[in-house]
Parts: sequence; C-alpha cells; structure tokens
Amino acid sequence: MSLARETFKEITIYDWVLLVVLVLVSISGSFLVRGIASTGDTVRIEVGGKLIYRLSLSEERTVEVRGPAGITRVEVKGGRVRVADSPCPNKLCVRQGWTERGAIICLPNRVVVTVGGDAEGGVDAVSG
Amino acid sequence: MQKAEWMQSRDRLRIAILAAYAIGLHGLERMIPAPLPWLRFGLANIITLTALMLYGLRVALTITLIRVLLVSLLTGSFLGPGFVLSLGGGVASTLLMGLASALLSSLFSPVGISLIGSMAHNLTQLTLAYLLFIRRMEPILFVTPLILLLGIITGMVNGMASGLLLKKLKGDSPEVKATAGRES
Repeated sequence: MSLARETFKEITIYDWVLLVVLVLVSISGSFLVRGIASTGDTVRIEVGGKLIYRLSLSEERTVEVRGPAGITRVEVKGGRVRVADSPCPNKLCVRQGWTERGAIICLPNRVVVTVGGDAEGGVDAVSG
Repeated sequence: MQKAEWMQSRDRLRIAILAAYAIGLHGLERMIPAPLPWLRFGLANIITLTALMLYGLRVALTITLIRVLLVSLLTGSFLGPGFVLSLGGGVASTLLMGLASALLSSLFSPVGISLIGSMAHNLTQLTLAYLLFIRRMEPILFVTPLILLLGIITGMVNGMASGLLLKKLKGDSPEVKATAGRES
C-alpha cells in the first residue's frame, strides 16, 4: 500500500487549493440557488422549451405530456411533484422522486418540470 | 522513415488497448446502480488521464473519441442527446486536461488535472444541455451546484486512481519507463 501513500503525498498544495476553491464555489452556489428558488405554488411542465402545463401545487393532478421519446406522466400530490413514468432509458427523472422545489429534468424526452420560480410573473398568468 | 512508421503502429496499438480499457471501465460503471441521480463516476477518465500523462494529448483525444463513438453505437444512443453530451463533455475535458498538463504540470499532480477535467466535463455538458435541449436557465442552475460537487468527488477519486496507475506502470513496465518522460 506504499504506492497509494506515495500517490497521496504527490498531491500538491495547488491541488488542495483548487479542491478547496471548487468545493467553496459549489457549496456557496447551492445556497445561492436555494435563495432564488422561490417556493411558488406553480408547477410548469415544458417539452422542448414549450410550456405545456401550468399547474397548481396544491391541486392533486396527474398529466401526461408527449416528448420525442414518448409519453411522460407527471403527478402532483400533497404540495409535491414527481415524474411518475417516463420512456427515457436511465429514468433519472423518475428516480429523483417527489420534489417541492427546484426542477426535474428528463433530457431524453426533453421534459422540464419546474416548481415555483415563475419567471414571467403575474402578467403572463393573466394573459395566458 | 521506418522508425516513424514503427512508432505510428505502436501508437495505434496503445490507442486500441487503452480505448478498450476505457470502454470496459465505462461498461462496468453502467452496471453499478448510481446511488444518486446525476452521479456519474466517469471511470473512463482514469484511462484518458493516464494516456494523457504518458503519451500526450493526441493519443488521449483519440481514445476519448473512440470510446464515445463505440459506447453510443453499442448502447444505441448514437446522435441522441446523451451522445451529444458525452461527446462535448469528453472532448472538452480532454482538451482542457491537455492544456492544463502542458502549461501547469509543475503546479498540479494528476489529481488537480483530473479536477480540472471534471469541471470542464460538467460545465460543458450543462452548457450544451441548456443550448440544445432545455433553453431555460433556471432548471439548469438548480442542478449545477450538486453536479459540480459530485464532480469534485469523482474527479478527486479518479485523479488518485490515475496517479496510482501511473506510479505502478512506471515502476513495473520498462516500456512505459522508457517512453513516458520523452513523449509526455
């Protein structure tokens, strides 16, 4: 195991500095993102950048949207949202489970589910 | 002339063997269920980095291109979104690691180079996902810090694995010992 110890010793001070800087940047980034993630009551479901559904989090509802890979089923229940079923191969979106803030992205089917953070604000809600 | 030809075929052999290792590691990684969505170990990067340190950017880049292409053909994702992201991330991280090891190799060990590669990989993929598929900043921003943090951990582990591999190779293989210093 002396090779491992040697390899560990070979790590330079600049490696450590880089590591610490990157950790600090990503941790402060996560707080920053938490700050802008308004816990709004809106769920936006988009396919390929086009808004398909705008739902309320307090409403219990299941909707289906069609993307290039097939049909994605999105479920809203008890103030949370999840992707219940998806045709994508790795099912990252389904495995992310229930969420009440932030976003669920399914790249293969181009489906983006965003909670809150309604960028267009009230005006769009009136006109839409 | 004869010597140049011999070196070329030797390079080809190295590229073929290392690309096979990279694809094997990638296959192994796909069999491990990831404990978190968005977590990718990027084990193939151990091979890319080791090849970069031993044989230079050209060999490392060729290995990356072969791996991305063959894996996409084997898994049926050729030209799909996953393929575009793998290609962009792989090429960007290999290029940036090549640049870093050429300019900053006195500062960083393989661990630092690997961290740089991991950042380049993730940031390129996020940018590509934004430009080509998502077109909305917010969801990308939500996942960016988590992806970067996971990338730091895997980059660190892969860098150490590559450092260990380099040490072992330099100690055990006369071929590597003879060529490494000259070509890297």
